[in-house]
Amino acid sequence: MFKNYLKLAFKVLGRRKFFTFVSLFGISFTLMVLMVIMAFLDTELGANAPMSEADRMVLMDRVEFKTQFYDTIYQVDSQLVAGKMTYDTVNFETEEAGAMVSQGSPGLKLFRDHLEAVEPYEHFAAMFRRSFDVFQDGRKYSLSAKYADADYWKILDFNFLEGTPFNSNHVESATSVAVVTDRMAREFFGTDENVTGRELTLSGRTFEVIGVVERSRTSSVFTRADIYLPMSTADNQTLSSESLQGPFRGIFLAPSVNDVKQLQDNLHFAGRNVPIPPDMDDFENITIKAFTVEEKYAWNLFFDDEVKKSLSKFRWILFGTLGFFLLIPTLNLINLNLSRMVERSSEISVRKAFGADSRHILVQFLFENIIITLVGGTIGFLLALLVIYLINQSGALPDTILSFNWRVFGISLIICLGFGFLSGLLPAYRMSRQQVADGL
Amino acid sequence: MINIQNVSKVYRTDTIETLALQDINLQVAKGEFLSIMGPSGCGKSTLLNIMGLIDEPSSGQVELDGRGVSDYNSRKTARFRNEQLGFIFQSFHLINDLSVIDNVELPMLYRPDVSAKQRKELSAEALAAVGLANRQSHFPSQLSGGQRQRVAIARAVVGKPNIILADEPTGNLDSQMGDEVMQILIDLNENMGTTIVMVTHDERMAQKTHRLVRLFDGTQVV
Repeated sequence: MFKNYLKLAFKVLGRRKFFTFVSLFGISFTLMVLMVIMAFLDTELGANAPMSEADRMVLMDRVEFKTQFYDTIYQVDSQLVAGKMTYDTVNFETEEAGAMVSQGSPGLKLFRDHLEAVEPYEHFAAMFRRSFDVFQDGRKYSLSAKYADADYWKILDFNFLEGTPFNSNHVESATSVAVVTDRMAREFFGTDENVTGRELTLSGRTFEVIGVVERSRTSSVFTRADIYLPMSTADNQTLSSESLQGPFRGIFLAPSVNDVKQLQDNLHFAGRNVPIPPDMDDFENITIKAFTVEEKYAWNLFFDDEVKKSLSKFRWILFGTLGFFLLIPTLNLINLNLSRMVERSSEISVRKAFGADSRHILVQFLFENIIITLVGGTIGFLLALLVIYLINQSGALPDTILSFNWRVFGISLIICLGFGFLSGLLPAYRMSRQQVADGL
Repeated sequence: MINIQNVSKVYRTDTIETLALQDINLQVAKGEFLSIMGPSGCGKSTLLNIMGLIDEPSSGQVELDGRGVSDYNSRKTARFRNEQLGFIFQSFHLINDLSVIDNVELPMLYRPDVSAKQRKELSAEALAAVGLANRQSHFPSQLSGGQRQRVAIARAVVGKPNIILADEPTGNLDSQMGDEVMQILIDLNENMGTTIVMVTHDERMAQKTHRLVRLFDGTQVV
């Protein structure tokens, strides 16, 4: 039966070429846009290397010192008694008048003295970023370096093309070793092969390359860099600072997805209980922000005081955009499908005369529509691959390398089927109710 | 085989009420070949549609093969049409996007107990019976009117129904092709014992059937 439907679906596609073009263009363009959006979201938020454990990560790079000012507002009653004005204070209230806030990245001391003791987590790594201008062979290179703890490599599963990451021995002994990205290796050494063992000098200190990793595809500041160096090789002034604010970030890996919320709550609690240092006694309280990967992404877009508010906005806008992109072409397709199916009312009546019931007709037209959508989806898929290639080549997203993996393909396929089902359901249902005599 | 009792049919719109059939009583015996004649608009096709469960009477009873069918739900009606009835239409109503064999196997698609292989075999047999064994992979647009009607007959008989309802099957054909199609129906009736009810405008064709019923303005006159 479905073979018969399939034959008919392709015949119908070939019968009205302009209609088919309009229909397939709408479907493929819509699905192409959705697939590119899905690829973008998957690259930024999905569980892909080096953030394969994104669901278990808690990111910490904001600390806020705050003092709230209040105004006292008095309500005063007055009355004239025996020719003299008398005043009677009957009430007063306070309201927020303003705040003094200092917010930025945490200092290493905040992690080492107050947050590393918080549970539960499997691994924790502190890190900070620094830029270097390096001159080699008469050329200037601007490099982004990330100083990190050894556990950085246990949390983030970078793909090592050669060599190994630095370990705790390297960090403890401040060994001058480095891990570089393949892109940096190509630009700096002219090749990304046999780079281990080669040396480069940063601010007068020479580092030996012990590993080459594939460049991080996501734009996350927690992963992005050209070169990775042991934390202990950073300058002493940065490392030994007593300030609770500084250039550092921290990344925790919870034992399981279910532990993430607990870890966040415990970090927030620990943050509130950090004593105010003497040099910051103008402030009354400290708040830290411990994000999930998605929360961090959303907060970077909206910067709301409450992270949940940013997350909610992000999801509304995201799903609203996706819904809008699906709704308009779906309504259009419903209209097109209705006119296409009305042309086939004679066929529907013949099928019903020979034994088809409404269910058969509904299934047939839904099946046909899903087939057409899948054809459009295939074209959309190829277009999406092309667009992703062009975006990556153009550098329009300089810190993100879009990719189309099986997960994105699977989600796109579900969207395709849903799109075909939704745009075909109403027309198919209407036609399935047609009386036999009406089409003969 | 077919028992129509006091059947009336009224078409109603907001402003007009049209009486298409009035108190029709008609019995068709098993194996009978009956023709229905009458001027255009007299209710012939309406009566045929009611016999074929394509339309419902406004009042009266319809019994097919000894079974009252008035209370059948849509699914049961569809199954009954599939197993017991075959239709032939004046304008063939073939599906132009399907090949001849795919058109013929259409009724068998709705029989879950028939495999794809059996469907093809039965359809090929039905096409051979109407002399179109070598036209299986053609499309309706590649056939003459007479050949198309023969495909429609093959489609009507492929499921071996007990009753065939033919609505002016020779109406769109020239006399020679009309005769060929009529001969196939007569052979079907005589050799297979299929009950046939045929609506026609053609007195000559009607004379070849066992019995003739005439309608005029929705009433039975003979």
